[in-house]
Amino acid sequence: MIQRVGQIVAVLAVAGGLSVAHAQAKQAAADMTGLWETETSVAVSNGEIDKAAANAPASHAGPPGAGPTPEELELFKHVKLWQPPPYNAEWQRKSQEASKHLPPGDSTQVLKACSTGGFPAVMESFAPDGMFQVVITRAETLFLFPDGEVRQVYTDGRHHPGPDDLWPTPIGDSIGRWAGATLVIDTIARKAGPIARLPIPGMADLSEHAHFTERIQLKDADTLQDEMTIDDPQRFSRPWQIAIRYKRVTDVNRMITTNCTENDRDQIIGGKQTIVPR
Amino acid sequence: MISRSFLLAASLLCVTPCLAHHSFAMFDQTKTVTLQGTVKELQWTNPHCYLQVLVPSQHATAEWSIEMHSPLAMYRMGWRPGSFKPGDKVTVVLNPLKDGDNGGRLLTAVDADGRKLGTTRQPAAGKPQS
Repeated sequence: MIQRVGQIVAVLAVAGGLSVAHAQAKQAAADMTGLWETETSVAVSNGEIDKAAANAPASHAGPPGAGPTPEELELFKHVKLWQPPPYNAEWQRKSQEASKHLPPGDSTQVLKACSTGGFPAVMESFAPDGMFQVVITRAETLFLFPDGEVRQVYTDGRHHPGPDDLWPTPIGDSIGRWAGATLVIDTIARKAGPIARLPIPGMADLSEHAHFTERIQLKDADTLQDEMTIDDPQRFSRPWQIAIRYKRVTDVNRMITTNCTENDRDQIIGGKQTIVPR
Repeated sequence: MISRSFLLAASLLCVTPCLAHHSFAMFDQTKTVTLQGTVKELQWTNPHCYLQVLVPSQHATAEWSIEMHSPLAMYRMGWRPGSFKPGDKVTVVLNPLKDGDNGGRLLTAVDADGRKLGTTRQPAAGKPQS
C-alpha cells in the first residue's frame, strides 16, 4: 500500500513538474509578444553605424563616389541576409557574371521599391522604421509590419497545403510549432528571386524551392533571436545558417503605419531622382 | 569575405541612415549645407516627412524641400507633427540634392529657442510614448 502511494506521489510530482515547465514555456512564449526591431535598426537609428564608420581605419574609405562609403561598410557587417550565400558552382559563376555588369560607382542609380519586403527580408529590416509586432494566439503567431505586411505562422497542427493548393508568394507559406518556449517555423513556397528588397548583384537569389527553418526564442527579456536556416538545393552547396537578433521596442507602444504612396515626392525626372514640389 | 564588386553594387543603393524605399544616391553626402529660413510647412507624411523652408536671399525667396524619414521613424527620434509650425524660424543642416534643386536630406533642425531636432534617435526616456 505504501509502495502504491509512493508511485502515485511520484507520478503527481512528475506531472506537476511538467505542468510547471509547460507553464514556464507558455509564459516565455507569451513574453515574445510586443514590438521588436533588429539590432541593426537600433544601430542605424542611434547613429552607431555612423560613429563606427568615423572611427574605421582610413583604408576602408575610398574616394567619393568610387565605392562603398565607410558607413556602408559598417552596415554590411550587420545585415546577415546581405552576406554572400553558399552558392553552388553554377550560381557562384552567375553571381560573379552579374557583378561584372555593374554601373559605375557614382551612378545616379534610381531604384525605388514600393513593394513590401517579402520573406525573408521582412525579418531583417535595417531601417529606422523597421519594427514589427508579434501577436501569439493558440492557432497562429502573427508578425505584423508597419507597411501592412503580415506574416502568418499557423501553429494549429496543420501541414502545408498540397501541390495543387499552393503557389509561390513573396511571403511564402509558414507553419509552426512550439518546442517549449521556442517557436519553430517551417516556410516554403517563397517566390523565386533576390533576397533584398532592392535587388543587388551578389546578394542571395533564391529559387522557389528554397526551404526555411527558423527557431525563434527569447535570449533575455528584451532580446529575441531568429536562427534561420535556408536550404536551396538548386542553388546552394549547403544550407545557409544565420542568426538575426531583435531588441524590444520600449519608446513607443503602438504600431505606427508606413506606406509609400501617401506623399511620394521622390520622382525620376530625366533619368535622375529628385524631390518634386507638392 | 565580401567581394569588392559586391560592395560596389550595394553601395549604389543604400547609405546611412538608410530607408528601404529608395536609393539615396540623389543626395550628396559629402556636402552639408546650412540654411536659415522660415518654416512654410512640416509635411507629416509617408513614405517621408518633409520640412518646407522659405529661405530669403538678396533677390528672392526660395522654397527648399528637405526630406526626412517616415513619421514612425521621426516620432521615435523625438519629432511630432507639431514640432514646427508655419512661420517658425529655423536653421537646418542638410545634404543637398545632387541635381542642384532646392532640396536635400535633413540632418538637424534648430528652432528660434535653440531646440534641436535631428535624424538620430535619442536615448529612451524610460517610458513608452503614445
